[in-house]
Amino acid sequence: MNPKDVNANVVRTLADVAGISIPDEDVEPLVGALRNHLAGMKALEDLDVDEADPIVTFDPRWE
Amino acid sequence: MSQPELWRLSLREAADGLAARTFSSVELLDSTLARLDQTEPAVHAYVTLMVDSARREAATADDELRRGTWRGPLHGIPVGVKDLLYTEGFPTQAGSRVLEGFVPDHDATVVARLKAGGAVIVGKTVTHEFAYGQDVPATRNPWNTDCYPGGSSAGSGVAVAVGSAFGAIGTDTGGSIRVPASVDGVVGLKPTYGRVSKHGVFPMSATLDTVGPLTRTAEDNALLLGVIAGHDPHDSSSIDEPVPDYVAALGQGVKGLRLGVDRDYFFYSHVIPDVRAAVELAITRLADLGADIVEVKLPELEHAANVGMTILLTDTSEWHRRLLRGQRDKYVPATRIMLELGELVLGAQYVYAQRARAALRSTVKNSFAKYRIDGLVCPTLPHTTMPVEQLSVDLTGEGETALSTFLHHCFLGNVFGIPALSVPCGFSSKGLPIGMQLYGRPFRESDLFRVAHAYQQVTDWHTRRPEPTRAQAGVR
Repeated sequence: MNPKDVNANVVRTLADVAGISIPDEDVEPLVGALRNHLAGMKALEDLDVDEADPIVTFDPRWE
Repeated sequence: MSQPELWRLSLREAADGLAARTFSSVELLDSTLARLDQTEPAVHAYVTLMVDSARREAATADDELRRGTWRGPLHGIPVGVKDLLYTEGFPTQAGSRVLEGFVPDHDATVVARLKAGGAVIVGKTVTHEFAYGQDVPATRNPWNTDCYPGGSSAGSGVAVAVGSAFGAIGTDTGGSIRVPASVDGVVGLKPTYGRVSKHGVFPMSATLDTVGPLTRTAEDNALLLGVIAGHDPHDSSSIDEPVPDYVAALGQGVKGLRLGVDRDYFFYSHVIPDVRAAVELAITRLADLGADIVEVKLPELEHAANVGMTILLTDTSEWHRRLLRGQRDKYVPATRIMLELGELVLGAQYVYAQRARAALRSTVKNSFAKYRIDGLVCPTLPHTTMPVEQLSVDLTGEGETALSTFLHHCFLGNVFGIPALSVPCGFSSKGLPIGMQLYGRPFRESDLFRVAHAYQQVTDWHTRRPEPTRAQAGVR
């Protein structure tokens, strides 16, 4: 999604999916914050990450 | 030095005085508490004082010294602990109403190590709510009490600066030790990820959080890190690497160390002239001392804040998931909005950020190898502190805010897991402290201490102490 397309409806829909209720006064700040987050993600799109595994920890050993 | 002035000593000087029985731990604590009484109304560094237990600990420390038992360099030394760390039997509220009344039944590993090392814990220092840096706590900058004290380890930085603790513990997920160190004029270390246990510390992000010391000198920082560092089986992210003798390495100086300067990234247009001049002069000093200063370009650093922010938002909201649903209205609104935002980040975005982080970390490692550098040197922040009402930590609008500049300079240390040290390197024309930041290779905190200690042998910025008063003005 283009960051500029984020609006109050998008925020409310995502909040519903996440299962949280958001006070009305938080919606407008969240529109701006979500736009900034998506702009940040967009800036990462051109990185070459093909050879990289995500940094998560998983150790299958039982001992 | 008279007993009332003992608070002015460095941690090392205080430790030496105790070991030589020049004064007692009780006297050291009395001086510290008197200084605390004098400064606390103006700076509000502490949220909980532990005076009675501190007096008992000091008396025990003196008894042990009389019997010939010395637990190490922190034996009998008054210290502060950020209110994000568990302290058995004492409130731990992380600056939040959400945790009102919470009293842990055990100590954080770091607190347990401080106690085992004979430290005297004066109290819990103020933090921003859950260390998110979104609210404005009561703490004020001791150099001008109209101004921001840094955060989120605000109280720890201020307590050390004014002398109501010889050292303090902070936490750092995106700069929360280094920012207060810079604006309060003290030394602050964000250690390598996994170097210091996080057990018993309220988390933000499992892969970004670190715990570290704030002190007045680099040598004091090395002493304190030596006590709290090391593997902890209670912390799954703790790394079992040997803990070197950080103090022993201090005398090696900087000759032979190669320090990179990335002017494109760290000396960009937002760096104010006073900061630029002070850090450039400090770099020249380091060169004079024998360090090899190398011009470098690490364009990959530009992405660190975006990667880190996605991880931070998601991890923090995941931990607060139940609390946000059950006690939403107890959070400060600005913290609550950040927690709500983290709930809106998609899973694929989070994993992509962690993949990008891995790719960038590899690039940074290769850059260190290509330039054959031991570290980077830069301003800790592009500016000094600012009046509290001018502070913008809002991430909901467009353009750069104070918080986004903090992250620009500091977040890469957490994203790449490397150690970073902020050292005082001057004052602005308005009398406000300026910090120089040193980044190093993983687990090479010793290199950073060597550089900072050598620098402090030829400068006196770290010896200056603020005299805060309640009615200050003049920065605006």
